[in-house]
Amino acid sequence: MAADTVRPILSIRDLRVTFQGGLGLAAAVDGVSCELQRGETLAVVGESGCGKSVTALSILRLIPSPPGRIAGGAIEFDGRDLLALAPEELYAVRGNAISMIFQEPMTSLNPVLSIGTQLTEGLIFHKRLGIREARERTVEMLRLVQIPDPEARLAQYAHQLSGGMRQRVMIAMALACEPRVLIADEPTTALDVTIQRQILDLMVELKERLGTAIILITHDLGVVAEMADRVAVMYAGKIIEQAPVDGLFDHPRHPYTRGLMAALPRLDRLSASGEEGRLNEMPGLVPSIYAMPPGCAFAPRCPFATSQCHAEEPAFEELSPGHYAACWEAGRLP
Amino acid sequence: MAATAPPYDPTNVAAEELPRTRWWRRTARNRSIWLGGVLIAVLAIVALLAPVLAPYDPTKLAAGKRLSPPSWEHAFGTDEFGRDIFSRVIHGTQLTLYVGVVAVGIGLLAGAAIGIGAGYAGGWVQAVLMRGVDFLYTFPDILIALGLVAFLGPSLTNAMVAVGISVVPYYARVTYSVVLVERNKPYFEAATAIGAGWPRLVVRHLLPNIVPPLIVVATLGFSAAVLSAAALSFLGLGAQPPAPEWGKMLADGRNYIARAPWILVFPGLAIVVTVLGFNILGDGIRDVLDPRQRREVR
Repeated sequence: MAADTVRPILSIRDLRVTFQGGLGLAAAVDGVSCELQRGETLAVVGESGCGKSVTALSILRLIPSPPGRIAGGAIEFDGRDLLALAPEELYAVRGNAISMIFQEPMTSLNPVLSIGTQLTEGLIFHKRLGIREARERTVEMLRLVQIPDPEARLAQYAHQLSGGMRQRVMIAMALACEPRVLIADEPTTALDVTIQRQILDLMVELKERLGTAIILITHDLGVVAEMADRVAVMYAGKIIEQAPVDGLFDHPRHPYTRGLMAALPRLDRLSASGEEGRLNEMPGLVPSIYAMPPGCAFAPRCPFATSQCHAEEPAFEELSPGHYAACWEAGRLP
Repeated sequence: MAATAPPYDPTNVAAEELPRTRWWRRTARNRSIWLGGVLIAVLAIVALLAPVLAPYDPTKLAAGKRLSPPSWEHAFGTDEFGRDIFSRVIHGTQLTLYVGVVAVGIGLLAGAAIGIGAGYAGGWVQAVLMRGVDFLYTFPDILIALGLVAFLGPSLTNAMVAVGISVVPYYARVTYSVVLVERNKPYFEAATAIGAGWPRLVVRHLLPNIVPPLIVVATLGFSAAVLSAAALSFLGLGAQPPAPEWGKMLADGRNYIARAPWILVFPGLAIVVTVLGFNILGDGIRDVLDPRQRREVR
């Protein structure tokens, strides 16, 4: 990839995040490294609890502490380590250079402040705009996210908007300061399918218009195929496969990724009689983060596991240009 | 089903009731708010117009009219010094509302500050503040107030301050619990992600969300504060003679309970009405503000 020669806008190196739980110290993110290029969309996929949201929250240092703690690593944005910033420097980055869209559009807006107040807030303190300018810019943003009658919306409150509309407001809020990186943590999970469609189209359009790099966290592979340039698959706190989106879908190298793909329900696999075949499932459960197996974390569920898999952790290796996977058997898989 | 409903139009916001209108409608239909509100309003007017309304000087002695029963001349009778009890009760309203406002003000401001500090900062700050509050909470309010007045010296001002301080733990605990709930809601995280620093988070995002429950608690706490101040005065540690404070009037009149019950009955009733008024109003406000307790007006 040509992008390898360009300095990435965001690079995460060996990130470790631990949580102090009732059963001891658990590593929710265990040595994650990845890079995000300018204007690129990186999808992070994996099942619930694999550490994808924690990784995302760590970038803006939003991990609730206690019990959470960023135990190691570095997150470099534009040459600065975000983990080493003073609180004021951090406030200046949040919502300005890097912003975030959350999963819960229903509750991510303050119920007692008007939409206008919340939307103009960031512009006023990040961009030092006056109230009038901030309102004009906000109306523009609301128009951009296709909210009808934006001037009237400014005076409304969250409960007066529908779910899809609230998520658009959240997106407008996240994009108001024209961030260089947008972190979207399952931005469409809580929405119904038609609204999902509109929100995703909107994100693609905004990305093209503003040149924002996006980290898209999701467990919906359909969304990934459509949106992403590159995909990182996470399992039990680690990235186990990372590849350009076509490479990953055409030729997944890690057995876990293959399992994910196989578990997708597909209309073209319906039998001639219209009967649905049984969905493929992956046997077993994610290991408890309090009791990680010594070797590959996926080995207990993996149909290809050997004795080496159970004993030693596989290295994260480049198997073909830009395609990395952490699997001892990757080269020998059928 | 003859009539057809108009087609649903999601862009028609005018059809949706504005929250303010709804809030007012609920308030206007709430009987508790009406009853409590009217009682408190009457008390406030009486307090403001006391010098006009009172037929006599509340502190003027009249040796010839000692312990006279209620009559056309003295509606509530006179006390052991011949002072007009009606005038004294009216002037006492001023003192009582003043005491309530100051005591609740002290308790609420200090308590809210502690609660917000503990709830927002967490960690050791929370541990130190809330364990301190728990420690104070183990003593009955009136005991703390008594101790403080004993230390500061008996006077109405000191009694107000003492009552105010004695209820700080109560307001601190309520505020703390509300702050914990609010700061764990997604909007708080979202505001943090937008880049709001802590002063903005607290003042802009947190405060407006915790004010409604605090209004309720303060209204209910008002009656408790009035009772505590009356109790301190009754014990001789609050208002000093000849101030027409209701608790003090009860204390002074108790020797005459058999011969001249009106000396006690009227200030006692005044306390009851005031406490009742604030309690009913507080209940009403809670019904309107708290969606879980919201019930249809019968």
